[in-house]
Amino acid sequence: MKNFDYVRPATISDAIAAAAEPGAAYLASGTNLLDLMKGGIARPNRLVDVTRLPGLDRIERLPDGGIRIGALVRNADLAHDADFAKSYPAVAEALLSGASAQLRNAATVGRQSAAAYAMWLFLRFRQRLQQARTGRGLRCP
Amino acid sequence: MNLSIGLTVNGVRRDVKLEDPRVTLLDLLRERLHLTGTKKGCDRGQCGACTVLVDGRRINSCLALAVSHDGADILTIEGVARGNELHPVQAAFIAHDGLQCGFCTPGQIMSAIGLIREGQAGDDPERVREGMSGNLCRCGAYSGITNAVLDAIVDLVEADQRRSA
Repeated sequence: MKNFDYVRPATISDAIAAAAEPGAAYLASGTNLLDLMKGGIARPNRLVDVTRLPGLDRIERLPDGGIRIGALVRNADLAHDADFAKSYPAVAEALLSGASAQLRNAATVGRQSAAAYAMWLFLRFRQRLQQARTGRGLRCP
Repeated sequence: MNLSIGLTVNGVRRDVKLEDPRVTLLDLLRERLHLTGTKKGCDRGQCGACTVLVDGRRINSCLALAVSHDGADILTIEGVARGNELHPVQAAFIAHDGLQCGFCTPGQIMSAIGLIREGQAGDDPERVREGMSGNLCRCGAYSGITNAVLDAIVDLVEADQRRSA
C-alpha cells in the first residue's frame, strides 16, 4: 500500500477543504477503500478521515414523508432501523443480503452508494464493450 | 509522521505511537501489542479470522486503520474469558467440536459474541448460519459451529434472565 498523509478535520468545511487537494480521498470505515488500496487500485496521497464529523450519522424523517440518511450511517444500523425497515423493506433486505455482518457493521451508506455508482458505471462500460465487440445494440453515445 | 493513539484493549488502556498511518487495527493488535489470538487470514475482509469487537460491534480488523480508531474500546479473544472460566461461547465451541485446526476459531468466537449481542438470530439455525457467514472455516466445522452458537445463545439468554429475575 502506498503511503499517505492522514488528517482528521473537526468540521465538514475543514474536511471539504482538506479533500480539495489532488489525490485526496475521504476515509469513512475503510472497508471498501482499504481493500482497493491494498490491491493498488486506489492510491490516494492523503486520507481525510470523516468518521468523527458531527451530525452525519442520523436517520431523519422529513415532513414530506421522505427520509434523510446521513452519509455515515452504518449499513447494519439502517437495515435494522425499525421505522426504515417498515417503510422500505426491499432496501432493508437488500442491505442485509450484501457482504457479511462484520462489513455491514462498519460500511457506511454514503460510501456504499458511491461504490454502487462506480459499479453501475463499470457494468455500463462492460456492456458497451460487449456491444462494440459483437456489433449488437451499438449506438453512438 | 508521528501519530499517537490511545485505545482500550480488553479493558486496559494502551497508548501506541505509530510511525506510519497504514497500520491496520489487526497489525497493531498482533505486531505492536502482541495479542496474536486475532488471526490474519485473507487480510481483505473476506474470511473473518480477524474479527474483533470495536465499541461492542463485530468488525474485520484488517479493513480498519488503527489511527482512525483512536479512543475506541476493543475486545479481542484474549479478553473474553474471566480468569480460568471460559466465556460461554468458548465453552460451547469445545462442547460441540466447533473447530478442527483452530485458526479461524478466535474470529468465529468473536463473531458469535457479536451476533448474540446484535440479537437478530433468535434460535433459528438458518439465521445463525447467515449471521456467521462472514467467517470461513477451511476445515468445514460449520455444523459444530452452528450448534455451538445456538447453544451459547440459549446459555446467554438464560443467564440474562437469571440476572434480571
